[in-house]
Amino acid sequence: MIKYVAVWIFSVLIASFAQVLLKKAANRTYSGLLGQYLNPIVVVSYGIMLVSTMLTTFALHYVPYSSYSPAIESISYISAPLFGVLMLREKISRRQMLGFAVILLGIVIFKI
Amino acid sequence: MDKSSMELKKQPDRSEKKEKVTLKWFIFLHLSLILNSLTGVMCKKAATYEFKSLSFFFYYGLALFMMFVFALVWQQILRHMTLTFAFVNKPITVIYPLIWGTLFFNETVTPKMVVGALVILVGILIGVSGND
Repeated sequence: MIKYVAVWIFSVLIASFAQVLLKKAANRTYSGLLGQYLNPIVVVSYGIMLVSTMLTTFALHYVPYSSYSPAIESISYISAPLFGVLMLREKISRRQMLGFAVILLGIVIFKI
Repeated sequence: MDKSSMELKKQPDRSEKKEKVTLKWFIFLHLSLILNSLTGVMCKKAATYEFKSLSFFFYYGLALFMMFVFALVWQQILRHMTLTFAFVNKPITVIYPLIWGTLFFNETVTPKMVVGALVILVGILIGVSGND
């Protein structure tokens, strides 16, 4: 089962990566509103998200949803900002880091 | 439309500095997150009807439409704030289903869920206050 848990985690990580790509596209200036959506970066991002949902669905055939989803889905609340800091050089304040830690604690209380 | 005309220029420093979030875009962010959480309601509603029935397709179609609108709005939101700031607020979507479940499906809310939701809210407030 570990293999399928790994697939699920991978799907969450690539979805976070897709969010970074969307932000990269958002940081650019395009001619016209349509250009903001119909550009290679946004199209690839949503393609990755589609693959992510397919991998999640595949993993869920073998992994019990309720017992694993709180931990695995919470990974995105760490991975997306982490990728933002590493790949987009976004600044993250200590207070924001504390906020994420408290949010994760809340999710643990809420779902487990 | 070739790539050079579509992509005029990259704004060089935008991703490297803190982006000040205006109240307008903060409200848009939360409206979009409400919309995002409501797609789950539509999917659940669709699941209560027989597969391939008209009601099933209505609610499932509505869910897909809402996802599409969310994707459009999300791209605009990311133009006005950092990914970090958006993701500090995103966990609120863990709380909304609690409200929708109670309102629309008479689902039970346990004390543990309420405590968890309050802790998440505190975390969001701490995270939001850590931004300009």
